[in-house]
Amino acid sequence: MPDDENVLTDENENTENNEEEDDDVSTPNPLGKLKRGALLHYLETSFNTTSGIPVSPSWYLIGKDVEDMSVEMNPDTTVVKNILDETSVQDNGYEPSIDVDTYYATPTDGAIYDKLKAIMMNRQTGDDCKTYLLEVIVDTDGSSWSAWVEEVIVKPTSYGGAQGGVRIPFTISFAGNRQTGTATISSKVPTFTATT
Amino acid sequence: MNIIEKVRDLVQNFPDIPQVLNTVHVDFMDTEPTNYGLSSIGDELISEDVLGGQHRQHTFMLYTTYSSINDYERLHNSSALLELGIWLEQQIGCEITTVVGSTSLSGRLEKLTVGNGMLYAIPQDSELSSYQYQIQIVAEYTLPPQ
Repeated sequence: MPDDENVLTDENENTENNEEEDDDVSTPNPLGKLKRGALLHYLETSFNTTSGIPVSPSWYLIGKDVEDMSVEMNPDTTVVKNILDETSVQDNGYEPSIDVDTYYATPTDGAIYDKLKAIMMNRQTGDDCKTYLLEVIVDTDGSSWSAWVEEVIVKPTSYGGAQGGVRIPFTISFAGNRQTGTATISSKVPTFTATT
Repeated sequence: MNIIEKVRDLVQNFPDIPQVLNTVHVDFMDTEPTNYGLSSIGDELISEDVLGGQHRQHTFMLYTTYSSINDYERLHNSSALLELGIWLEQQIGCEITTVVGSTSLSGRLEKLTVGNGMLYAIPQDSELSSYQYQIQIVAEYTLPPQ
């Protein structure tokens, strides 16, 4: 998790070189091997995509109790071999998705719990299941990082589970309209700014 | 309270342990009945979620000294350990505070399992009036990401 008060300073620099010092301060340094917590996925909990990303989105950070979670890219390629024994590959893109295998039903989580409950109990489909996913990769020691937002469909795959808590594992299927931008995180709340 | 303080507090609150007369000691046990001593054996990481939240396990041994003059008392002693185990397994969900460096992290006691409640030793100087019993307590708890 990023530090909210991540400030770069170099107290040993000569103050006469103020301009150079400012350049050093404003250029974030790349981090080494990233911990898993450096790749963050947030779901927008209002589930309203009719007029773009809400002005004041409510992002829920996915990952509590989840030990292993990946964006499965599911690349779609077709290999064609013609009568001359020449091979060509047709790249049809990706069909990415995420399996969140553990989500414990937690009413105090608020909107995300309410929405998952509504989808699974009311058998909601289509736009009722559509929201935005924010991906942030914290790969520098700066305070603003690369981020992407895309529409997604959220589908609980089951509910119940074994002793220990009510589980609602769900799948997130990417649905297009991907936007690139940057994100800052303050007090664990991300703010996304799209690149124009 | 950290996990050691919390488990000691839970054992202390077992209804059959009088609050005043029988303080649950830590790493110490008197040979006179009735006495309780809680020893921490170790703490280990069980799993970690993708955000850095940890699921940890702490193992304890609880040693007790009970009066054991006759079969009636010895049966009562074993029954007390049985009841303590079942009672402890129900005491979950409370908050655990763990200090890591200068950061205080609040987690949750997720599970208590109790086993190996048995006769541990018959002290040489007890003249058969007091036996020592042991019972193992395993506490699973969570720590939020730092």
